Amino acid sequence: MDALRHLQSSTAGLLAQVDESLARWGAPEQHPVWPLLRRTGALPGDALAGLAGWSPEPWRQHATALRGHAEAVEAVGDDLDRLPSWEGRAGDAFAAARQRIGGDTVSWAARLRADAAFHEELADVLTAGRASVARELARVAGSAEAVALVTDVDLSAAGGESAFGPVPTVRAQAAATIAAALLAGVDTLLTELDELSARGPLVVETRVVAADIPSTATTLRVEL
Amino acid sequence: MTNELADRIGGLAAEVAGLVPVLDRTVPAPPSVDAPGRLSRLAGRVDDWQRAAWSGHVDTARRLDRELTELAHGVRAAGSTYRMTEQEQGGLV
Repeated sequence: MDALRHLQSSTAGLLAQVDESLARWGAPEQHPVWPLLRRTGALPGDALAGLAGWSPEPWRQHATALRGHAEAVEAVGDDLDRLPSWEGRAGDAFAAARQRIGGDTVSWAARLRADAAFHEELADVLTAGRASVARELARVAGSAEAVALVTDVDLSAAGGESAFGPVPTVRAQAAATIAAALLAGVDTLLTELDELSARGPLVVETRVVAADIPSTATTLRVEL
Repeated sequence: MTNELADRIGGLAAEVAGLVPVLDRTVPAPPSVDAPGRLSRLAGRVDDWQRAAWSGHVDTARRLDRELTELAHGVRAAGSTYRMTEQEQGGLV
């Protein structure tokens, strides 16, 4: 269990209170939580539960599998390159077909590697985002706002004295502050993932340049 | 020589064909994101992309297998033609 899963599970009560308060009392007008709620489309408790269950591991495993496929395809391309050629019309046709298929293996392997790298990028962004949200969750879990929501004690009451049963506006303010802190992290992560998803994988095309190097392939001369 | 070459190309075709079941075993798992709003939409979009990319790789494997198989047949046919020509010319088969 990673930090976010652990924290999300142990702060489920607080998160439920935040969601309940936002749903019941709303948030102060002009509070920064409003645009964050609109952008993420979820209450913090729901957003964090979803994020906690979204593991980057399947992406990493898929990246490893794709790299394995790329190696297999490159090996086929290399073997194709090493096949002997021969002279004559049929030999020319074979050489042309081999070059075309060889080019296909090169571009396929490049796409497989690009997809693998893209999966790693997605996994890295998700891992970093989850860690950042986990840190924020740990911070707000020990905040005065959290105490106010969970214990119904307002630590910010006048004179530093605790007052039981904070009025709805105090609860709403506390919930909104916690929600804004958490949703800001979620929003940042989703924006990064959105941008990455819109960009897609970066395929590095390897151009095959004809070099003045004698071919290692043997030539079969067929006398007719 | 051409028969051996055709066999080697056929072997490469078999290797590529063998990638299809391997790709099938590594089909991307659907994301387990249970959340409303943008998080869920984003996970769905990445999943759609993954499946489209995976499907493209499977199609490429099948096409490459077909092309290599056809190339092997072509080389075999060329070899037969050479041998027939040699026979007609009284050469060694």
